[in-house]
Amino acid sequence: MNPNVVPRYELLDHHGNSVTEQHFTGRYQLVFFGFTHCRVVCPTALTKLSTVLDDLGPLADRIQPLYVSVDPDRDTPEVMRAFLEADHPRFLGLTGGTEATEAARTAFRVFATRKADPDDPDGYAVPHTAVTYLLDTDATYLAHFPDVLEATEIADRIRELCGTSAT
Amino acid sequence: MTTTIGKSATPAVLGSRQVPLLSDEQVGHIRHVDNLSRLPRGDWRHMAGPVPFQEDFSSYRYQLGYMSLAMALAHYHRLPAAPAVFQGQLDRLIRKMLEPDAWSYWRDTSTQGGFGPFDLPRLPSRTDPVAVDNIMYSAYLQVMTLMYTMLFDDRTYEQPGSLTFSMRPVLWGKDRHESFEYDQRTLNERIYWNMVENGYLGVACEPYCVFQICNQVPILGFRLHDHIYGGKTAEEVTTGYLAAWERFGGSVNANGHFHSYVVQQNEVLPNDVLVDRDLAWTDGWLGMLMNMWRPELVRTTYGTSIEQWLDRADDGLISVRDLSRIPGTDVYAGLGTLGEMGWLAAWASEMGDQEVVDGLLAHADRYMNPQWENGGLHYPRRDETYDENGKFVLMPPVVSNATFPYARLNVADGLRTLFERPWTDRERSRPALTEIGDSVDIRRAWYHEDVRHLQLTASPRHGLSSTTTDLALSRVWDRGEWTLAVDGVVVANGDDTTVTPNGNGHRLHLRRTGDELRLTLDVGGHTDVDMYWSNA
Repeated sequence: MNPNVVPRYELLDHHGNSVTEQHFTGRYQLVFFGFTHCRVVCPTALTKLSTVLDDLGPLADRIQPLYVSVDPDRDTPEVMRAFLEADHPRFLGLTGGTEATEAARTAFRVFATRKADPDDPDGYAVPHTAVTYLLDTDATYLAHFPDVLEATEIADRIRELCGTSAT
Repeated sequence: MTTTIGKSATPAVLGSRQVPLLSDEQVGHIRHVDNLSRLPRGDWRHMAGPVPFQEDFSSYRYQLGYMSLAMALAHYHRLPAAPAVFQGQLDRLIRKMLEPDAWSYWRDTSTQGGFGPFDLPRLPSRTDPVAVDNIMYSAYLQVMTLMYTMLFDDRTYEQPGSLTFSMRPVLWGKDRHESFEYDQRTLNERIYWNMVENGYLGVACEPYCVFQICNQVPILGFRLHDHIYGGKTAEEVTTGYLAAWERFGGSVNANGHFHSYVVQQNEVLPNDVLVDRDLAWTDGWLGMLMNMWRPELVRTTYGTSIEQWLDRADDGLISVRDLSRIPGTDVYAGLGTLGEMGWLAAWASEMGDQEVVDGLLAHADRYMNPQWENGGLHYPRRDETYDENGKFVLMPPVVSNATFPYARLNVADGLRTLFERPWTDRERSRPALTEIGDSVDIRRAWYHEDVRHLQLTASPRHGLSSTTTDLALSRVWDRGEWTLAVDGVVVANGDDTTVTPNGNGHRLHLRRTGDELRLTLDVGGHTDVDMYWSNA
């Protein structure tokens, strides 16, 4: 139990279903926050995490990868679904209204702020922290992985935390 | 961009002949800090400043924080074989940091409202001084405890509740009090998550105000925590810090000075505001700290900015320019208490610019009324900026008690080296002086691993011509045959377990007590104690 992170969310998945953190109990949750218009951080992180899941083999079947939007104005369930199914099909997208996504972000202590960005077609970006969270099977915080960790380090940590040693 | 953690090329070991004796002034600073650390609860003599509410840079938290850093650097670089001099005082400074006098200001400061040109939201009062914001206190406590563990391998502050903030005013009645319990790991974690939540830009000092300066301190804390407990937090945070400040143009402004702070957007302020003024205290204070992980940037900034702040006299003395005045006005920004001379001296010491360090301290020694008290050196507080002859004489307590000692005791890249190579069991298992009476100063304490030589020099503390002290040497057994000499005269021999005094040694009451070799020493002038182990 980490008193600093109490992961709670009440969002829509990219199929339009209402979900909370309790929806996935019985499985581990691998949670990353971002936005589909992100040009560098999210593609890099999602690719890395997909590699991690590939590396985990059968253990990955016990893990639900989640990509939570910090840009709900643009990231509708439909947008999230199209983005993820095209490039990061392991992930389920979560989004919602401004209040709901902010509540989720606050619960996970994720930083995100809307900034003007002349290179973006809509004129803004949402810089955010690139931390990946691992929730236990009871939807409590188990660990987090900062962006500086390599895919192999994350995979090793997940095996260790989920009770499956590397072969 | 990459950071430079763990990549220093500075030498780790000095040869015997390269270890100089500490000067009278250097040991005087150590003694003064020790004296302050021993003052009873509530006695803040020599530390009280002119500004109420613990709002300025002579607040107790800063003095205690930089006194601790100065003493840690002195132990690490100057007297590594003398934990006896430093362990007790660093522990006492931590305990003073836990006194409500040092942190209870937060119940008021946390309510915010604005500073200078900014109107900021009012917030509810918070008592817990480390839970949210207030990195200007929490990070210093974080580093003080982790540094203590690193230097002495003493695990006191990893015990649950060992860092407890207790507010129990008598007049609140017997059932009302507030108490917040932490230890060095839970404190570190709290600061870490505050840093993550703010996108690694840093944790605010007063609400909404994120200063570069105070966010260097937790980076040192994370580094020490990684070293002691494992992890890559420092690397994570410094990588994120670079990206976060890049959104404000980086850490340095167009004039070659460090950016000071960001006021973050809130319900009153629609956008983040970068406070970008050329400030001597920001340059000096940030430079002395940030060198630990961005040495190239800091050295470049030093080269372009330091001379702008210095007022050089023909006789080689150096003071500082009229720094506190807001440009274009007659208004002083900080009531004359910003301590620029000390921050700049400390920065120069980290840069290894001994000419500037010596010039600033020589000015202080000539014009700032140095005083000796109970063997300690200090400069009495003075609130006027200039004397009747136009000499710069301003002396805030933080300069006398913390930053001048820091500058005089630091070495080139001193904090950087400590950051990159914190001590391990290797350093902490070497022979060392672990007990000493308080009537003597230690001028030299070094174990030369290559030649198996423990080299100590003691002197009577300032004001005494001679004295007698008991001392204890530890970690000296099970290393083979040895010889002990006092002032070059052999007084004893020994082996793995026993001590055999010779004719000269009997008057020293040499004896083994548990893990220590103890002796009673007459000290007049500089007295050398040397212990050599055979190489066989």
